Amino acid sequence: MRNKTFHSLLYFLAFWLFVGLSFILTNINTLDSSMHTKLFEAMPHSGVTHEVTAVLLNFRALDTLLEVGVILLSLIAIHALEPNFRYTPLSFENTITNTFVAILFPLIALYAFYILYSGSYQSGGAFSASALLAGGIIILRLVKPRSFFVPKELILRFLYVSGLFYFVCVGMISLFFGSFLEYRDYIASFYIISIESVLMLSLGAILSAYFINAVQRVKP
Amino acid sequence: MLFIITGVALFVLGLLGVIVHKEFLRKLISLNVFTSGIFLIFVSTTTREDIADPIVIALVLTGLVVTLGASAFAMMLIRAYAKESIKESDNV
Repeated sequence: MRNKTFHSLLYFLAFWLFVGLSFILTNINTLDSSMHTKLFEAMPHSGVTHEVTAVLLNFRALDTLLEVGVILLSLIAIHALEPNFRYTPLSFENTITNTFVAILFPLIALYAFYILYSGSYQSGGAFSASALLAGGIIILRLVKPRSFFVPKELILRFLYVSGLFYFVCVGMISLFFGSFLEYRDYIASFYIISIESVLMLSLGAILSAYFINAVQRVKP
Repeated sequence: MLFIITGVALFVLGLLGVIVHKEFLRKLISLNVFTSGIFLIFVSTTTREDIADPIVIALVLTGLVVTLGASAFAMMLIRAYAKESIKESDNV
């Protein structure tokens, strides 16, 4: 009975929170655009033509570096919990699944590379491409777990770390010419594209490892 | 305007879900709902003349990926907890 009154009080409070927050946020003034004009002034020095990619990998590259670190850290934590589970694969031999492996997966991988490269002039980039690649790998793993080629654990671990490692290496090289992760104009484009390519492969492996570890069954 | 109200509704629903529900998996899903509400509010309040601010988009992209990592880890913790509680109830 007490629980019920508590819940109705909560719903009442939530309704008024909704009304109040909507009232405040719809009447809010938009912030002034000093950052916006600064960004557009700095765009010619960034090495790419799309603003989001320039912010992610040039002006605020340290944020992206730490973000990759967070993803890797969460994978390490998942691996620490892994001995609790064991995977027993199922396999489905079917025309649809065989067609998927033969035709659709190469298309998905190709499209991931397209998304990666188009990040320099439109929306896209390493994170979208790695999500796409991870989706392809996950479906492949679910459909054909037995025929799926799994590299050795050591190689996989190297692949997981390679994105962060390359990012830090680029930062160290840029230390010779200025401060950490601050590129010269003429080489910025090469650095951004190379970082994005390595990040795509490494993040694709990490994101698919999230799922593949999570679908493991509980040890009986 | 519509986007802001939708974002606030998602935020409030998610917050309510985190408080009201007892099951951990439902709490995790509510957490994801309310973070997406926050991202929607953040992007729509800074959009001017139908052009979204690139800095805000970059920040939201970072937040999305971090949320993904956090939910994957929370999922594994919930599974480990569920397995332990099953084992304990078997022993009793």
